[in-house]
Amino acid sequence: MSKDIVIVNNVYKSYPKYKRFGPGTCLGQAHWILATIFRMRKEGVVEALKGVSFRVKRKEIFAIVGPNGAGKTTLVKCIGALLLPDKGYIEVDGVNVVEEPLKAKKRMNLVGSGYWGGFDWSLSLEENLQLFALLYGYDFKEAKRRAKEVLDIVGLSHKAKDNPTKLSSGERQRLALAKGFIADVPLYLIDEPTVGLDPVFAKQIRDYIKTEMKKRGITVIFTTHFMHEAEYLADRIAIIKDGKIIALGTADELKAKFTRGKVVEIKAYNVYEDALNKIKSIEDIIHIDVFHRSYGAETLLRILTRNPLETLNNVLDILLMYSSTILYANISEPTLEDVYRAIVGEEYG
Amino acid sequence: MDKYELKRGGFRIVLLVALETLKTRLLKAMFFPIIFTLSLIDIVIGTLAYYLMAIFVEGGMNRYISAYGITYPEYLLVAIIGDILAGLFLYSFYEAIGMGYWGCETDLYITSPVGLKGMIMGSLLTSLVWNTLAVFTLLSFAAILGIPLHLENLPQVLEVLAIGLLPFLGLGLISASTFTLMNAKQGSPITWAINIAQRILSGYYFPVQLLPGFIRPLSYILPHTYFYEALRLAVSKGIWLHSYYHLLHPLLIQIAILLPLGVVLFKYSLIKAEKTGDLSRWT
Repeated sequence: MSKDIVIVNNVYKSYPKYKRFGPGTCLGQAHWILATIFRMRKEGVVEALKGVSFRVKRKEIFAIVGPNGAGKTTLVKCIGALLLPDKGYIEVDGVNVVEEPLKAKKRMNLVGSGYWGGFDWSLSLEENLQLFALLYGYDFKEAKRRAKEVLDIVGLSHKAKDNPTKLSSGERQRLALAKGFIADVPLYLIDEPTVGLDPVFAKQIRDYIKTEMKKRGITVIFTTHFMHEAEYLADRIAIIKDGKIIALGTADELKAKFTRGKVVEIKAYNVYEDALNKIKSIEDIIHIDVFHRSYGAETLLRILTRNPLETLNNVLDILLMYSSTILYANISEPTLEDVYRAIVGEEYG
Repeated sequence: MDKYELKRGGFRIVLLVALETLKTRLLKAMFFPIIFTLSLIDIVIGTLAYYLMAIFVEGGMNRYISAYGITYPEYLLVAIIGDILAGLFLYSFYEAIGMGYWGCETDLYITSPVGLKGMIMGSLLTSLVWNTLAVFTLLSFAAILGIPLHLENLPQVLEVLAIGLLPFLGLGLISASTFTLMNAKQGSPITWAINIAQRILSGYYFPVQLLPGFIRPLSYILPHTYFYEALRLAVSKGIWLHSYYHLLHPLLIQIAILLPLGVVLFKYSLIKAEKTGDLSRWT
């Protein structure tokens, strides 16, 4: 058995872009005829993945992060055999995903986010999950037992008999996760596991992935926009931008490789625009975040810099020169979010 | 055996899923019981309207349909039932994909090891149940109105159905393939065009011979023309289709062209959907 459960090698994927016709529903039947004709005309091509390669080890938790439209979901769909790549090789648990997609799907479970994802509005939550268990080949009795079990895990047992239409967006996300947990498969592909969840339940889901799934020896590949989530959960993180993986490694490796600097944090009263402009022109600064509180009277500056001590001194000098009152100053290690912004941020990319 | 193979045989699991999908679709239909009841009443009211119309024009029409040896209400009833049965093949594949797509069901099936087979089969079973129900409603209604059902000619009718419905299977598959091949997600232009053409050209309301000569060649392109004709002859006179070459041969030619073309295009449309993700609502 290979030590890598997922192998992605030089994968390319592009989509046709169609001309759109509309609005114009007032045209009735003529609308769909015109819309169909318009949609047949290609407008161009969107290159979603451009030669992506990486491997994921068994039992590893692997995060894919990147800006909107970077190709994260396309990549997950290609691994999940929902989309055929134009070029390249994808293997899941020894099965070639392109050649044997249904066989590959028996080895993984794909959990979408924030979309209806196949929940039938006429069935109860329990019946929906039973149907999904049947799709994985369990008999009715086992399907019923599993449906109950996963509803417990995601805290929706009390709504087992309700229809999905009665759920809040957070509860729908929990149901999507429940669907994911129903089959015993070695690989989970989860698209934004905590999007739309309240902080308490988001933590429960993260803890479940971190402890329970790890304990069961399941490999997890997930996408996220939350850097703290990627840092907390993932053994390794891939940063994807414009369809290419531009960085890959553990959180510490990425920090060491991409941010040769530290974070200077300064809290002050009365930080004026002129002072901020002057601070922004300091040479060693990689990027700067400005947060205003109390109607703008209190300002927090978070500065990623190559030369922390000198930057700290310079910023304090500027602030004092502009009569600001310093409340707090500190130098700390950069977070994954700082790394991400340093790599992905347009101006510093 | 592979550790992650499905617990039971492949076909059995697809069948099981199809039955569950059928249950889901029927539950959906029953979810709004008033709409469900109204749609049944709609069939009866529609038929009653046709029946009344048939009675009004019967005197004038009888001389054109005397060759069949049936009354005009019977003539029309055969076409209505034939249309429902042809519709089972003509529309069900497109509806299976369309309902799945717009109801976000396709995502559930394509992420699973069963794939779309279970959903399509389940949807076809639903249409079969619904169309059978519609046919039985019509036949019961006809019996109440005293229209003869000619049950003694059932074997001949079954032969017509076995052969005459196959071109519609081909057309239905072609129509379903337009969902992804032509991106026709709001309705298939093929079934739309066929539906319009068949009402005028196929002998649905009146024999084809009544059409102006320059339009008539178009009638002979449509499989409906041969199917309705064969069905009427089987119902009224007990004629076997295999002995009626001028109807059998065109149907066999249409089967030979449309069925393989439908299978190829439908398969290709599913492959295209895998490449473009057209059947998934997940973006």
